[in-house]
Amino acid sequence: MNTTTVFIPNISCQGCVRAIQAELCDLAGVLKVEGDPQTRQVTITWDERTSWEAIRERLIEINYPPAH
Amino acid sequence: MSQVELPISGMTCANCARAVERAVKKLPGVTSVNVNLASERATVEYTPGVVSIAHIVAAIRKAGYDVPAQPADLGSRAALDATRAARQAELAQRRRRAIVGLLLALPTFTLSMGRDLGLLGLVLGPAFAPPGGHAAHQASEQAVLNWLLFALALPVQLYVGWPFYTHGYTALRNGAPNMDVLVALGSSAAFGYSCAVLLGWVDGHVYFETAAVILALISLGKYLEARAKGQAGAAIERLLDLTPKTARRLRPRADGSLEEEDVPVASINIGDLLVARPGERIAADGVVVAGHSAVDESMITGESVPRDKGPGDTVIAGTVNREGVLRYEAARVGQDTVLAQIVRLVAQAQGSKAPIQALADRVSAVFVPAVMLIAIGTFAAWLALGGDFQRAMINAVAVLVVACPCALGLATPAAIMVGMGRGAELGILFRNSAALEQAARVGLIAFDKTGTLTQGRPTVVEVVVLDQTCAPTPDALLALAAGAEQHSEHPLAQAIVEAAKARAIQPTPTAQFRALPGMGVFAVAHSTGDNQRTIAVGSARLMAQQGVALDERAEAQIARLQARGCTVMLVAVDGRLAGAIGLRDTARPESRTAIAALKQRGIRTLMLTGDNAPAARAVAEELGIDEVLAEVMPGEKAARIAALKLAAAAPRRRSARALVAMVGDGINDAPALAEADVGIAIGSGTDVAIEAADVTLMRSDLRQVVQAIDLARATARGIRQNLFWAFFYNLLLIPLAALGVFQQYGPILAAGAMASSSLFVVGNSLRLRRQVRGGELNLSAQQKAGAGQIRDDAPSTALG
Repeated sequence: MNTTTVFIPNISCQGCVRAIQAELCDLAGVLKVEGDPQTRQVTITWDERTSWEAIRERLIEINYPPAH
Repeated sequence: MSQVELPISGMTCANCARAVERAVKKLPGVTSVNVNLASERATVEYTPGVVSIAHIVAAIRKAGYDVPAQPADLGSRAALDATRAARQAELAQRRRRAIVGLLLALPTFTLSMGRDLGLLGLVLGPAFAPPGGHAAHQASEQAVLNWLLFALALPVQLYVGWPFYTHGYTALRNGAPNMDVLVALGSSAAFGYSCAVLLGWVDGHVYFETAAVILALISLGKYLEARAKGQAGAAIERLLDLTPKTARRLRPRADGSLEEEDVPVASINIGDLLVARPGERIAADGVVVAGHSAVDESMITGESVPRDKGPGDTVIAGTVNREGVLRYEAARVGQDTVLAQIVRLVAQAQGSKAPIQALADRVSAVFVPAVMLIAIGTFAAWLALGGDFQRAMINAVAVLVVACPCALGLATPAAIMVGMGRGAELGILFRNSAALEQAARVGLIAFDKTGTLTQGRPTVVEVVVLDQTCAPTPDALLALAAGAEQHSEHPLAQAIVEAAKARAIQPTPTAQFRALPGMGVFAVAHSTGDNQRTIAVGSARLMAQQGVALDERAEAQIARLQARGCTVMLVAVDGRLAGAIGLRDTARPESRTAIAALKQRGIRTLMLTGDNAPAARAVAEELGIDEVLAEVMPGEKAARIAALKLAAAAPRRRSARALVAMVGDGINDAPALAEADVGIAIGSGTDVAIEAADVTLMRSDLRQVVQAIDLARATARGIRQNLFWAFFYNLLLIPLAALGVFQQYGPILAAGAMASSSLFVVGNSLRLRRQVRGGELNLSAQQKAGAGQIRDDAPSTALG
């Protein structure tokens, strides 16, 4: 079980957060996605069925690349 | 491949739009997605059968956005009811404001003017005489009167004046000061200045009545204008009424036979087998698989002759099946049907029309900044010339007060009301004031052909004898055909009977009448001394079915008639082809006069039709129409009008006459009527066309188009004159106010300006009534002579 909080500059509204939630939750292993459009931070919890690399890749694919 | 447009709510940024696109694109069967963030709509191309609209909607919802209603949202009843309720509420509020304004402004005006003109002094004693000097002004009775005026004017300023402040603020923020700004500015200046006088901050006269009367009169004008506005959405409602609520669907039983069931139209799927009995409406766009019939498509095309339908032919939802039973397979349902597309086009066209800027607003856009500059200039000049601050301020405010013309509120409505009233007398109904104002600026009129320029019903134009042993002369042929057709209700049949009647030909007596739906009729002739002969009258398809041979000469004649735009009815006697009758939709006799009169007024004319080019050109030449756009698909008409609007506006954007009008009568014209700057519906046309149009001509006479233009031009002239008179007196007073003369004579001058301009405006408007005469049009003698020719194609005698 891992938890990471990332800053995603592309977030501009609650709709973006919902889109990220919907897309990430499609990945098997993603347990929880929480985000705040104000701070543009998203906290993702996942287990061993997936990896940060996979999540990161998906975020880039859907045009919400995390900062760093 | 199908396309669907879905409304989407909840999108706030470009990322949202992309998220929706992604969610939909992932579905199998979706070929393209285009999401427009600004219009909150998604256009999806998909393969029906692989994916359904319901799937697409579900995917969008899952992505966290909503599809607020069915795609029918634009034309749904709920949306219509909502807009109607909002309109009613707005109208009621305008009415309340106008009534409150008038009730309070009238006593304010009476009291104040009564004092200024000395009447009050005569009635109530010298204490109420006009304030002669500062001492008298301080008299407590005067103060009481001033406070009374304040009490009356305060609610007018706050309640009646409120919309002027809000709308004026919006207009200012948009950088286009309109009439509202002028009214808010003038009335506030008068009211604020009067309050300052009342509180003893400045010496002077109170102008509460000026503020109250301006607001009351202009509110009244706005209410009258709003009341005259037509109901939005009525066209769409009429269209929705055309779609049947239920359909007969054929369901295969277990044993393979078919079972008929009544189902709601909404539950029809593509590929369902449907049945239409005679008199029933077609429920979905489809392809006929069995049966023959004639289908009345007049509500879609304007063409009154029912179309013959057999296997393989397409049928359109909403059209009426006339004669036989048709089995058809649904190809397009719900939002994809032609009718639904028309509903959407009408809604889009109505929604996309930018509100026009009223002339009063355009004048105000120049007037407001000018007045403000003069006021600022006055203030600066007085200050610079050594006047004290208070005096400079008072004179600047005086400029603002006198600049606001009371009669401005009446200038447009008075002329419009008279114009619309005169129109109603002539049988020309303008939907709203904008329609009347716009019609004056029309430079191009596009006409639908069928049912508008033409009569919309067929007339016999040529009778060709092909076998003289059957019928020796055209008259004999017509007698035979009329004899067989006299029992038929079909418009083509009636046209043949009428043609016989017009030529005083006695139809051959017949019996054993039999009609073959969608093909023609049979009858047995039993005239004197004649052995019984079987007459068949109908289409080439009927002849083929009956085994009647068509020789080369017959084929050539048929081709020739068809090239002239004719529908050909063939007549066979005992299985031998006797002759052919050509029928055509002929021009309305008055169309030619109307076109000539329009040209004389510098208006370009154009014909817009779905017909083939030769037939269209023949009619255009007959009528003297300048341009022809033929073979235009029903869905394209609105787009063509939009293109014409662009083309007309581009070269002379600022020109007075760059607007495009469209004249039509069919449902297929409705989107174009809504799209045109001025849509004109023929009164005998469909309800949908009438509701989509801005103007309705009660008599089906195109000369009324000319009258409508004349009336609109006269009204526009009236409005301009009214505006001139409304501003004129106030303009005269501005220099006086700026020079400070106003202090002394202000009240009388202001009252005089108010009264004279209002009288001029009303008087000038009433003069309009006499400007457009009914009946005869202004035409030169030569054009009148030419207009008399109805048609030149007399029945020809063909060679034996």
